[in-house]
Amino acid sequence: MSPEPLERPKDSTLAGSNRSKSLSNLVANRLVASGLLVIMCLSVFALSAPLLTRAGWLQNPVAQSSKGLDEDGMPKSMGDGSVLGTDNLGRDVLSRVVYGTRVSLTVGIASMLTATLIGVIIGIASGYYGRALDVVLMRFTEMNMTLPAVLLAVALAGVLDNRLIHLHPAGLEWHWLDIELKRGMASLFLIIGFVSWPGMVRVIRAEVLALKEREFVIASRALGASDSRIILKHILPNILPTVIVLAAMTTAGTILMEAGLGYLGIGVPPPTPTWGSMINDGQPYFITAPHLVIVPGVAILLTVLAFNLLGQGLQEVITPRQRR
Amino acid sequence: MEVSRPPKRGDLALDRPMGLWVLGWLLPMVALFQGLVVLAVSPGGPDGMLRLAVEADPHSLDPGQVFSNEEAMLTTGSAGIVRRPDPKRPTKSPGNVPIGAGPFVVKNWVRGARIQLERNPYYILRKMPQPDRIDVMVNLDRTTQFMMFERGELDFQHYIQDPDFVRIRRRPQLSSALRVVAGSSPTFVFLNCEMPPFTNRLVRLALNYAIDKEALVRVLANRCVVARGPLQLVVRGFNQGLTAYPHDPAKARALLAQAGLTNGFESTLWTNRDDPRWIKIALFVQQSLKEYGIRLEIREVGYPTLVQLCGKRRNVPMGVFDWVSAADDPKELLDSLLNGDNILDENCVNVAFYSNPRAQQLFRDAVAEANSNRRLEIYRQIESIVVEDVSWIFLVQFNTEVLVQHWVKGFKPRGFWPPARFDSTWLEPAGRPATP
Repeated sequence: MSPEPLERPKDSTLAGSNRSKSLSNLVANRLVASGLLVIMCLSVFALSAPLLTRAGWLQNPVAQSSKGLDEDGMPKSMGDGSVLGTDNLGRDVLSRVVYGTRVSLTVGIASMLTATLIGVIIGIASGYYGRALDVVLMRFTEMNMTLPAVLLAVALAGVLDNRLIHLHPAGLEWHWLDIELKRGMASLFLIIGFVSWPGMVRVIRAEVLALKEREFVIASRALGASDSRIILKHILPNILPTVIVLAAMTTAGTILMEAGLGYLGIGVPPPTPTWGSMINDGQPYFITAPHLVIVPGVAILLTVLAFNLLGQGLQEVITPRQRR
Repeated sequence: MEVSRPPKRGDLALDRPMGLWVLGWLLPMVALFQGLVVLAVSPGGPDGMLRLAVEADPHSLDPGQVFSNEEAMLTTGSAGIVRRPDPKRPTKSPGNVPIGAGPFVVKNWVRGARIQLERNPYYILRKMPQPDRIDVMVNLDRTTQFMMFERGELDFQHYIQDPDFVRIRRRPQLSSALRVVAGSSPTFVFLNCEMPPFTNRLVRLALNYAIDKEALVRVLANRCVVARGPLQLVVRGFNQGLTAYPHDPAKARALLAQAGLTNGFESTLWTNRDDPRWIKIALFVQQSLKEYGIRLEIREVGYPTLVQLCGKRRNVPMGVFDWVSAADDPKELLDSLLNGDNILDENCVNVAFYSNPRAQQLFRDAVAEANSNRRLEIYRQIESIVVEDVSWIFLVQFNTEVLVQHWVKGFKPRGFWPPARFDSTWLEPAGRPATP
């Protein structure tokens, strides 16, 4: 007599019938809706910036123009020939803020993905396998948490001095293995991602610790499922809501850190416009041309607020127990 | 301040608890570097400050024997804070074996906050210095400094930011406090003559024609003048016959084409990240040369790193650099920055690694020349050669600008380093608000 196939546990993933309901719940949530609206607007601006420049709506964000300065070489204020004024080199502030959105969103989201990837891998490995691995990974995480993220990021950014690191043996000409430590968007999101993961690990590990004792996981294990199958099919889908909430919250932090590093002069190198570097450049002009600081400042505020609202809203919708 | 023993020849004059000695003008220079000096009023009023109560010690160095004139001693830029000499541990390093003493000694030093200097009663120039005390506040950002100056809490300010400078110019009550010496600090982009494509004079010449220096002056808030050559306008021997390379895009393109670089080239432009003006210049040059297909990557590093990297042979192709002379003599700048005889593999000050046998011979001739006028004429010839060889992109000459309150009397701005000296300065307390 062959055994009857076991019914798939209902709570192993979000059931298909619930998906459309969850989606409508998401959109109905005011926090999610307002956060998404701002993010979508910013994304549209960021994606369409080159098109807007070509159409003549925006100017080249790095083009300096003596027409953008008054007779004393000072930036022009809002409305004086350009919507949001010009900066200390006569560049259009509106164009720079819009192009800055591209950098901030790209670095912010890529950093979030990096941090999430590291956080999920370490969290799952630590929670699922436990024992010595858990001890080692958690101590490593705690060690990382003791280091202030911004200082660590500054230190890592300091290493990017255009040195070439040869990963191949000296005698071989395998230059495809060479790595140049160079400042840029890629190195920046890796740095920010690397310093942003520790907070995630603890939450994910706690979730995994609870999940691995649940019946459907025990049942899968009893049926001979491998660890990788259990993790990919049962654990990961169930921690996904938490990961999404954490990711949304982390994005706000990574965007803020990108702006902070830009402000400190160790972000994306000039003349690429970034919000942080715009604030830094405009700081001495705060009394005479406050728009140089206020405009990128408002852009940072809106973006960070939007991601925080999204995160909060997602938390309310996806994990209502925590809300209660 | 207590004097524990009479000073002896070859030793420093005063014994002080911190064990540090101020030589020459270092601390006023540090103060200027930080941009903030408060001259304190003597309790006895301005008359009391004009006199030195203590005469120079008979054991002190006689200025008549050591220096040709007093001014020469005061203009020397070689000064430093050194440890109190230990007679039991002699050293061969002259910097560690100070002789003589400066006009001020340290009275109090709160690290990172304040330095108080007091008149050295044993200073060899009997009538100087006139201020009893100099209070130096350090680590204040420049915006705060300017606000304090406006409130009358500072007597002197150096390093004025562009927006503050424009505000000063637009307000009569502040503009009267501004003292300017035009064209005292050449700022340029050096082109490493040992690194391609700058080994080719045509490329270097093209870059000089490619940049609109008048527009750069405006970007720099009109605080400089277009450079006509390497030397400052204020220095003796400046060649008045030189003219600046005009902005001529067509000629620049033709020269690049002649050099076989019609499509431009790629290079890196190094600059000092700590000075907003240098960053502005780098961005301006980058943007200007982009129109000719020259793609520059800007690398910003701290000033000490920049100097170290630029001084290494065949290391930095081009970079923003400047110079402030300490003496009114063309030799200082020309010999340091442009004499091929001084090229070193490391720590080279001739950052363009420029050499020209004809110029080098003239440098040697100038050293041997005793007649002042003929010597200056030789330096003018050197200037002409340097301008012809274009080892730099001659950009601008920054002005020396300082803010001085109206109650500070006897102050004369200098076009050299340090830009201010307080030896002949005194205060008239009338109108000066009480020190908070």
